[in-house]
Amino acid sequence: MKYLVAALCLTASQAAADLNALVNERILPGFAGFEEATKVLADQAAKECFGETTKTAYQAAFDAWMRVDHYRVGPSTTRIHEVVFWPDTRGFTPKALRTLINEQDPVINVDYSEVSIAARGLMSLDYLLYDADFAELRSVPYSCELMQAITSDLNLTAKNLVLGWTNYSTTLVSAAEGNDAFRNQKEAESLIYTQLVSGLEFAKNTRIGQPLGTLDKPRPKRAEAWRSGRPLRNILLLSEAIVGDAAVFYDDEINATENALTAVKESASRIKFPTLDGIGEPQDWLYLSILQERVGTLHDAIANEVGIGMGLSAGFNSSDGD
Amino acid sequence: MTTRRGFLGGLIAAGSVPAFSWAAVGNPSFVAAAKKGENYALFGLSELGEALFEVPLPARGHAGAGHPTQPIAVAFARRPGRFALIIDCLSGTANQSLTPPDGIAFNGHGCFTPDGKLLLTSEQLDASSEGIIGLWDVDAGYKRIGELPTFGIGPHDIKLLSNGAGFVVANGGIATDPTDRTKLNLETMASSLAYFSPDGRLIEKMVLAPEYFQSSIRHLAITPQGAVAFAMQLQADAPAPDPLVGVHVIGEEAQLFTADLASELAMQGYAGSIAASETEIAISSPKGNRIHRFDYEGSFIGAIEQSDVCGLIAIKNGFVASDGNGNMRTIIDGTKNNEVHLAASWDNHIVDLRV
Repeated sequence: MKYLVAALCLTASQAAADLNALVNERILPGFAGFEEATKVLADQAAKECFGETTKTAYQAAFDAWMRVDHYRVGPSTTRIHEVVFWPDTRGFTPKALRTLINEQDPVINVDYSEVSIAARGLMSLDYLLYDADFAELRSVPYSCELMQAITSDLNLTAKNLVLGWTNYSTTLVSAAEGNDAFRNQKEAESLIYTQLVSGLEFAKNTRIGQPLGTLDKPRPKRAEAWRSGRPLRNILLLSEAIVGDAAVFYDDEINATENALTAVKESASRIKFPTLDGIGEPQDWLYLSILQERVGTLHDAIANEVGIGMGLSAGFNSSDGD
Repeated sequence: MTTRRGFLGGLIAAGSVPAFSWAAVGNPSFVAAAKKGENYALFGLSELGEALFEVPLPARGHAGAGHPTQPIAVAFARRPGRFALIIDCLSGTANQSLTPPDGIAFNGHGCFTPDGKLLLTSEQLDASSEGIIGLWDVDAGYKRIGELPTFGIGPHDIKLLSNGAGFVVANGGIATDPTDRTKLNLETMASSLAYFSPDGRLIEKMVLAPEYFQSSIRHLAITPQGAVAFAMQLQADAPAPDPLVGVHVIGEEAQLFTADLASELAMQGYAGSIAASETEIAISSPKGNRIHRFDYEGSFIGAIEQSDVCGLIAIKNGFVASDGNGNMRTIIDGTKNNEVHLAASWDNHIVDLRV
């Protein structure tokens, strides 16, 4: 093991981080793609609130989002929750949506960005479009207007994210000269690298860990966007996005990382229900637990290959936890 | 367990004269530990965060304590710690290394009594995580003379109360595996603040409302009014927007402060340090790369972004904040005022030496 680490360190000093490429080829196009997808979604919702084409557009918007979900810094720091308010263990989202509908709150005609983040973004749409208990409420005319308000607001958030990231990317790529946010390039690179590894940590501990629970007590209803059938897909899209980002960010081969991604996909393919609804059965629970392990292995592969490779580590204090 | 009522009282009454004062080492305001290259060190710092002296440490540090009069700093190892170094800041050498008794670990924090006679260390029993305060007699060459129970599990920070009123301990509530910090009791944990009189008697134990049972109180700051400001870390298995900061006055209910929902979530359920200035309380989240500021009415003033920020300490009209990238920033009235950089990673805390 010692030799392996030493060898990696050696390769490392020769490989460079390409923050510029990551920003221009991945991050900015990622947010632009999300903006586009939310525009389509808002247009569809304006035509037919809860129809199939709206559902398709919602799914496409969520797909687009998963390319950039792991960036939780800069303009995304607080806006992220406008897009995905999850996990919601206290049930804020259904409560907030019901209150709006029951009170026919006129806020939908004014400024929806004033509404609590619990009633905004993709998770609110997961409820409105797919939740069985909302079936009756969907026939209320107000619900249709609410749907349109949420999708327009989401598109506005996406626009703000594109704008924010366009500005922030200038700060990132000019870090070498030193600016308000970063003293040097290494700081910017470390922060972005931390996003890649924490995205996988979050996938492992929360996206998978929440529904996985224990063998005796699995919690499929804690899975992210299970109503719209997205839990497994989100984990896969996120893993692919992070590996894709790592490949552009790191100017060298990332074979172990790519192999680890293949293993993630392989174990995901064994899980029968994309909603993770089957994990009540011991066999599916086991498959999900194997997937969790493999997401962990993918995390470690990136840390070893990209992190050590570029001489970067996740935050000194943020990973200490005390 | 032995209680040491008489002992504490007796010691505080005795007196001795320090050989050298802090002036001999340039009157540092703070000390902080850092990782520099592959090595660890403790730094003496001016109020602007400039390094005045540097002493090597054998391993990663956490927090420390400064003797009130003599230029002696204690550097505590990261939890679960097996050493506390007594550092002569004048010679730049570690004179002595304290080791906790068998079956006990240091928990990263400690403080001297106001007269400098005793060093109090936050500790826990390996077997049960039950909290104890180790008592070390300074004049007897840091002889361990006893211990007090903290009336809680997994104590972390310990601070002196204002006006010699005693001290307060944050019982984090988390039982941990003594070897790898694995958390063992998250479903049943109970955090508290335990207040002690100068002679070591429990005065009061503050426990939060049951709905916050997974909020671990870990770090403390004494406000200019003498209240205890405390920072929490959430232990729930899913992120939640629960409060991360509160203020408590003996005999009263704790006041908990929260930011707006999106800002609160951006802290990632984690406050690493806390500081209380004349007008504000600030908490840092290295996981969220940000500092949150509150006024004493509990209103959220705003956030300041700083990558991997953790160390925080109050200065006039603001704070000094340190991060894992080697930056030591002064933040005055909410804006970055001055920055000192060191090619090192500042560790979790900045320790106050000012009397």
